[in-house]
Amino acid sequence: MKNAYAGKGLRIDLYNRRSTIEPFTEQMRKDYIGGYLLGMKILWDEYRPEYGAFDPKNPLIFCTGPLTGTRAPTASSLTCNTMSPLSKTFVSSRAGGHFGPMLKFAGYDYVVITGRSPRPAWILIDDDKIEIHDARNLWGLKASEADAAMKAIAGSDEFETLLIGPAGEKLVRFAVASCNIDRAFGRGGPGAVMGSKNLKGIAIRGSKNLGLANMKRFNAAVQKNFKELEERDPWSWEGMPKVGTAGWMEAVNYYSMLPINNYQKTYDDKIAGGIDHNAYLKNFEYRKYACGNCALSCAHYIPTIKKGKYAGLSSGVLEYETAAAFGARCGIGDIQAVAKANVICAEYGLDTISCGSAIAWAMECYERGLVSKKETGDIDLRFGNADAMVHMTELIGRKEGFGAILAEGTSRASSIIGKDSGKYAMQVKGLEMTATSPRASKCGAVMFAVNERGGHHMDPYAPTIEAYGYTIAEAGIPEALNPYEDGNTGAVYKLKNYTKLADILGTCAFAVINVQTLPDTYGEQFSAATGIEMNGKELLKRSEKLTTLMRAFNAREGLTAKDDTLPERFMKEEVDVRVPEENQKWTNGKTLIKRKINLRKNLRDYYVAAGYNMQTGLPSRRKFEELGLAKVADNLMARGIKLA
Amino acid sequence: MSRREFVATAGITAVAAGAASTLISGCATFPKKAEQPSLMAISKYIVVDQSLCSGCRICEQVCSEFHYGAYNPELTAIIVERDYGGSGDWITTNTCRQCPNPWCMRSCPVDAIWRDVRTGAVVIDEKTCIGCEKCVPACPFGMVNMRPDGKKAFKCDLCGGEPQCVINCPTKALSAQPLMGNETEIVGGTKS
Repeated sequence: MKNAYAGKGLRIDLYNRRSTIEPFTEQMRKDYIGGYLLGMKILWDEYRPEYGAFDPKNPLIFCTGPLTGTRAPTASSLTCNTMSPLSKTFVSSRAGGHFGPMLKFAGYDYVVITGRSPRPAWILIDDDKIEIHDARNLWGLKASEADAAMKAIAGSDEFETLLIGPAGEKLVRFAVASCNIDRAFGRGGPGAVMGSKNLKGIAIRGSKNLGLANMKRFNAAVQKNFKELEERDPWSWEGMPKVGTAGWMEAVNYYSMLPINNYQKTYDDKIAGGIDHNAYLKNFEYRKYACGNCALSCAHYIPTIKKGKYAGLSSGVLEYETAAAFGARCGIGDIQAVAKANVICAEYGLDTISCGSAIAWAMECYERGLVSKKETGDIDLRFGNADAMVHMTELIGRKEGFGAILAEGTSRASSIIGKDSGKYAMQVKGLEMTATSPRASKCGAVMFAVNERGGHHMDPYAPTIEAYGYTIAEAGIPEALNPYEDGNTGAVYKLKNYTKLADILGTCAFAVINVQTLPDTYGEQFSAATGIEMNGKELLKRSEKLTTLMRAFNAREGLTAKDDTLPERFMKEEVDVRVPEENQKWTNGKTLIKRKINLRKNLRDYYVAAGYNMQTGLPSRRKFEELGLAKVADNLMARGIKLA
Repeated sequence: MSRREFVATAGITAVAAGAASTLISGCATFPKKAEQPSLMAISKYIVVDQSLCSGCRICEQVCSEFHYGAYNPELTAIIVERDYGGSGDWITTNTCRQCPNPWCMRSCPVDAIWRDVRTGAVVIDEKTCIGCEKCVPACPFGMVNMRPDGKKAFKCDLCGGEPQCVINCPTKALSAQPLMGNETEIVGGTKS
């Protein structure tokens, strides 16, 4: 039967240089859909806590979702799951670009890579032809050079590439695996896992038909989805194509969520003004660039910087997170320097968020006298020193000097430096936090604390939901939430499960980030594409299954409710938070309030809503059974882990 | 053998900025088969405003879906070429020029290619096509290609008058414009 699944999975053993194809059965499709859920299932089955991230047996899993490669809005996702070398737990990262759809067109739903190649290798997939090539001649090449070289060897520009830069080869713990150079599997260090397997990259081309079960019904659902995107979130629909995520900077500063100077302040008009979209438009000429099947085209590409210190540089996508990491966090209001750091990260293959975060941490330690100038190698790592930031980024990419310490990630680096430095490491479960200061958003605080993969913002992007007062009854937010009053955070659980719909179906977070796409629209698209009838509610159950499986994985890794926490700065330091006009109804008209977070209260409400045990942070056995995860529950209980 | 590999070699013809317009007027001077002037008047072709194109490839998706009922990047008659990290433009979208005196039509040994009277598009008749591949290298723009199974050639037929790519382009980079319109402004499928 024709449907949106290719129906096959590809396994590549790099040590034995062998590839095998396995069926992706109807039952598996129903139970695990695709994307993160399928990836986590494989990871749960094949990874053992005793392995560690750099063990050859640690599987590197790339999954498409059922909608990947179809015309569903933003359907270009490929997801990556593996054990993280950076955080205490797994990597789950998604990337757009065109690699995901190409994997589908080549006839595979997922790829699992295991083993370590005895010498550097890269994989060529051309429909049914799978070859493992010698990559000794590519080793050490920067991302754009390696991309060009792989395409030249493969013999065509039609190939899509997924590769690592020198940082991944040198096992920088937050190295990325990049798709088409500028879209990347960013968080948690999948690039380092590739590097540990001696795998430089994958080039893929496909020419197989991707038919759907019911094209007519599918197209109707797609049109409905487009309409929702346009009507439920007009800002993104109009703003994204113009300035992309760079347009958020101004708003985030306005809503007091900017992590100025390593989260010491929540807003700074001068710094934000230097890196927001106005500075962007003033400094750069750029053109639009979209991932596959996306009408939003949030990404942009800067052909050449015309004037200034870095004239002549051509830069890829400059995202909000990147500008906030190298700009706001480091106290640098200079978009040119940020663009330079961004290019270094793209070429070396570094996660801009973790990299900027590590530098900001080092800057704070330097200013507080925990790190001396001798240790930094004569670099004046002061907040606001743009040259030092750019230099440090380069050193991290090369893993040289003080950069080699920062390349371990803030959590490990703070144990190397010792003293009080751990207090300033803005990380959760070992993963550096993304750039949304949670002080102006209680749900944002919970989101960071409970996030299964660490300090990440993607499921859900609660701060925007709160700040803009978005509502979605289907996902548990019937009315706007008060961002400044602790407690009543139960909605985050449902919202989280709702946001994960995009991750398992293979669309982008930007289709759900401001609660645009309704679950039933996804249900309709999924049913029409795959021929498996499922409505929004049933899909939401699969999302919940994913959340539960992720928590189970964490529990197996020894994480408990104690790890659902935030850096103590947010609970101890009381900081000014500016209240924008539309949200002054929550503060009785006050324009400036002092905020610190009562995390205990926030977490309690979340745990109650999710039905979690307060010590282990796990749901009840009944919940596991209800979600079809009885075996997972058995496994946990056999290890002596208590369920709720 | 893929079409973009071919484009790379054939590109030399198309590269020079003025080449396409010269080509159009040039080949019109030496017609092999008589073209009806009235037909030329209704002919349109798809023009890409490269500055608006985001490279999302929705046009490719709808093209293969409309003609073959499935998505396939090798079965589309509009081609989004991407060169990431290159120094030039990242994205160049290529379309069939529906030439006044088409090279593909002239190269066909079995007369399988003709101009559709209703739409003015140059179309390939599937039944007549013998899959000899002569038209593929004949097109200087690389816009005639073989299906992945290698049995038949295919090219843009303007979807019977309602080009799906134009209708579905989210950035409005695509438009169908009269063939004999502003030749000076339109160079090689690109607004300049």
